[in-house]
Amino acid sequence: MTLSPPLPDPVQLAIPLFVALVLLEMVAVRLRGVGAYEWRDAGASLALGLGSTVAGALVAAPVAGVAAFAYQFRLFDIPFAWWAFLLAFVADDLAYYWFHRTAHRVRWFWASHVVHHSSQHYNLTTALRQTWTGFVSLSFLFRLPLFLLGFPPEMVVFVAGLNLVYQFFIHTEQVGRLPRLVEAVLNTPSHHRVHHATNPRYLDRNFGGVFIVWDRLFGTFEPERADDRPRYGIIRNLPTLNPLWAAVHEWVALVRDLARARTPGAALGLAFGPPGWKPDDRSLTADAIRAAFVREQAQA
Amino acid sequence: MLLLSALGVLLLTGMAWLLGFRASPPLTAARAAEEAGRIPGFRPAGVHLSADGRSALVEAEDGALAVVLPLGDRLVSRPLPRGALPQGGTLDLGEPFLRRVPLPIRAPGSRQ
Ligand SMILES: [Zn+2]
Ligand SMILES: [Zn+2]
Repeated sequence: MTLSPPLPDPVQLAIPLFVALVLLEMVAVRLRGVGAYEWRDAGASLALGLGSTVAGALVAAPVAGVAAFAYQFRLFDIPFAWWAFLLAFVADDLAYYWFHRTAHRVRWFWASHVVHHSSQHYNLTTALRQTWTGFVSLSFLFRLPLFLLGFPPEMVVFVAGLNLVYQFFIHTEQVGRLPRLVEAVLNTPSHHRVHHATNPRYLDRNFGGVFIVWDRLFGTFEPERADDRPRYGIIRNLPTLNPLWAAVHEWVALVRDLARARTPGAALGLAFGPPGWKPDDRSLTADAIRAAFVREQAQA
Repeated sequence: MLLLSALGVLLLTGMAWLLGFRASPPLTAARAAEEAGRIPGFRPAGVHLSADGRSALVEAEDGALAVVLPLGDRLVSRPLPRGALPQGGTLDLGEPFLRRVPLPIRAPGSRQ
């Protein structure tokens, strides 16, 4: 069996399903009293999602160019076979893990990814709250190893779309825990709630896209606890529900910080250090916040 | 496709409005303290609510101050610079979308 180009765009195909499920979730929130929506927050998330598809279309050509360039130097000729799609799906998810982890650990990438975390809500619209500036932060570079290995760019784009569609479903509070085997292997609503939480215990945890095994393997896994309910958002939550500000706020803050940096070292730290890092204050990085929390727990 | 997506955005946002997801629960001392408690290292000790419910000033055990403001059905907090005691009922934080912050007039110390 072969599945050859042109391949469909899974995200475009899934949009009607997205709309239907968001409606269903809204009704479920009303009926069950579990989870939350705020109409302006949801509108901002949806507008950011729409904007990100436009931004993605605008940079599709240069990204495809870079992919094709890298593909010339491939190690293997991987055919459009079903097993290759499976391999590509897993390999792409591993690349996603490292992209996502870096997006939380390096401010340059965070400035783009923070958009996804900038809502204090966690519902299906939050899944669609995607960045407009992924190209600026060069996040596509994380997929280059796949092309160098020999996965055709069309195949990678396709499985990356499937990955994004999968992640839509886990942005919900309507699902508690799934069967143990599922929670062990896959990224689930429970695991991803932890990822979106600002509780010190949950900061910078559960970076996986489809598979949570990467987090278990690389030491970044944290289970959700009943006695520490996730509080969603970012350390300094946005003071507005304006989607335009959500899209650019961290870039503006970065430029402001760089303009004030006194030394090249400070500028490097501000741009490529962890989010929250300041030349004269290291207390607001995720590691420092977690360390303070752990000290406090030990004393209690 | 783009037009259809834009319609989808409007439809879902409108449905959220119609389903009544536009409530802003009142800013209480308990909510303000809990929100300020999310600031790393901030242990709330006392809360001063403004009479109109538009803001709260939270004092920490170590004397640090934070302002808490409502945003939709959620809250937003900012730690205040040390020693910069607010004057005249508003505070200039100099942050985009958060330049002038209304503050409770009552002086810190009188706890609620
Ligand atoms: Zn993330
Ligand atoms: Zn997410």
